[in-house]
Amino acid sequence: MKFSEQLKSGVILDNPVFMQTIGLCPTLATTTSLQNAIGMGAAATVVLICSNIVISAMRRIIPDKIRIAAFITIIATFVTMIDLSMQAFLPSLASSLGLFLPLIVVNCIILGRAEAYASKNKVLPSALDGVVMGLGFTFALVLMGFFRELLGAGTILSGYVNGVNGIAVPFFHSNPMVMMILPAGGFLMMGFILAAIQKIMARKEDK
Amino acid sequence: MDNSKKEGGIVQLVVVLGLITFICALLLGVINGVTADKITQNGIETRNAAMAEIIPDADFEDLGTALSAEDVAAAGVTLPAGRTAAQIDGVYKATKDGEEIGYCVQVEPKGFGGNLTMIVGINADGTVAGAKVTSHAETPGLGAKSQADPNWITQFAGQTADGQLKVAKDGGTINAITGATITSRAVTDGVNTAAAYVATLG
Amino acid sequence: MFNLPASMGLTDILSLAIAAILVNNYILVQFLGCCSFFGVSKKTDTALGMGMAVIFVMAIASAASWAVQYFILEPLGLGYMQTIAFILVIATLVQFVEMFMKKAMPSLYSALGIFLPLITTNCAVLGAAKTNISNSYSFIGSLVYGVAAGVGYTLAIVLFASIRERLDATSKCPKCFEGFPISLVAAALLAMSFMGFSGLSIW
Repeated sequence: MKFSEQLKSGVILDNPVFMQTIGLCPTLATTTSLQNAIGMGAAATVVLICSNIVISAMRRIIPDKIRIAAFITIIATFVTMIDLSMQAFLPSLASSLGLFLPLIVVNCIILGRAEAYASKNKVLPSALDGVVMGLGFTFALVLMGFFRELLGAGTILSGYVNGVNGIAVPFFHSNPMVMMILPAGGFLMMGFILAAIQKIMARKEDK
Repeated sequence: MDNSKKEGGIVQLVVVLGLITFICALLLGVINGVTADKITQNGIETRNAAMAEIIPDADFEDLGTALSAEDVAAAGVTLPAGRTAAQIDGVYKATKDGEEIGYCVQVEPKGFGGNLTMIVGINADGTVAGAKVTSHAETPGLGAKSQADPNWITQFAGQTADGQLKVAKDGGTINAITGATITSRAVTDGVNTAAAYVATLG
Repeated sequence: MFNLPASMGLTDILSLAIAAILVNNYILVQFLGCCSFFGVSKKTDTALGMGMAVIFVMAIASAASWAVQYFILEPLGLGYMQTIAFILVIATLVQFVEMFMKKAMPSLYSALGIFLPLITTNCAVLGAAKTNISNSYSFIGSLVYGVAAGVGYTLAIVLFASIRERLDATSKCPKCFEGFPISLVAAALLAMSFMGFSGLSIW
């Protein structure tokens, strides 16, 4: 498979969050702002690429019986490395992601790719698979984060641009739907995005 | 595809898993060694920046105080009825040109999603110099405004530091954040604890 | 020799439990354990089974991880190894529970067994273990918090499963919302109703 096709499949047609509905906890919990969404997506992508590479390289050494324990150890190591580095070099982002940063360990996407792909394929394709799936996950987070922040706070990229305030969007900023950044809004936004995707898919099939 | 059998004896299982865990632990030890100091340093920098914002151009001297909520209550700190004093992490005496101009106190009042960490400045004339939330686990969009909304917390500056401030709902003067009364009460508790504790220092 | 967190009073523990079940419900407020929340909530029975298994594992995982933190990691100054230690403890525990149940309680095993492997990667369990430590709960407090968070999880998943059963049987909704999207909207309404508990304090 060509990389562009693989990319299209991982990010859109086979998107881990929207199509396979895995990795929902961080998708719902950390997308209260675009900044958090990007941070979470990037952290998970790095862990996914690293764990895919290492697991693929060691696939012949790790006996079948203990593979899950070995995978979890390797993933947890990378997660802790990212967690500590973010606390050291990006402290404000680390504190706003909070508990969900170490919880990347139990993100089903990462263990799922280790089990389904990296443990059966060579290093380079596994690394590419990590990149593609990571981008797919990040894409889903960014989409959620963008709309939730826009509707819920009326800003874009608060935390990156203009210090804490971000870019204020006229109309939305004066009439924020605070509910969208509350827990209920996470479920609601995800439901509407999935409905939109189903609508688009149905239309494509009609043609 | 690689479908070779990877069955091994118990010895092989133990050795492989032991080796993986050992290498991982080693790696983490190295990373921890690189980042630990930086993480501690970040905490200190955040605190110093907050203190410099609340009481500008002052020198701070750490009094080495660290008191649990019970110790604070035992030290004679009483808050308005129904509210309990917060834990104190540190007290810093602010001096300018050798003259004492106030105190900054790091307190941890109990909020909605756990403890908030905040710095409260108390002027020598018995008013609140200001307050700043440095870390919290409150709900984004509601309680998180105690840190994110720079306009809300400024209402504490200039209040009388008698340890008796209350949110409007409890019959006081502090305007609570909409939808986040618990967080607003927690921040008020933090300011009150700091004020009442500084008053006991004389 | 060991630096243990302060013991907690009965009222503290009770309000901790109420908060964990209703106010800070793991799924509907904190989004912990969402994968299984959507994965195993098609039928009320299976949802209840999963809930019971989660309560059980969370209770023992809270106790075990508490002991690991205060008797092994902290005395050795290995606080940074917390995530890796806890996830391995949880994975091992789940494996042991599975083996023990198979031998000793076959009827319970046939009811809960299939859910046990899923629980290792349920972030609610690791989340509870880490929350116990970061809020420095006492041993009893951690145990109660683990059980209460599990009860909150069960409450949410059973309520949601019964809503989904109705949805599948009777609902008429726009075509593009059919299936998963309308379930998410239902979950949003459930989460909204749980917002009513915020600010609840009994003691």
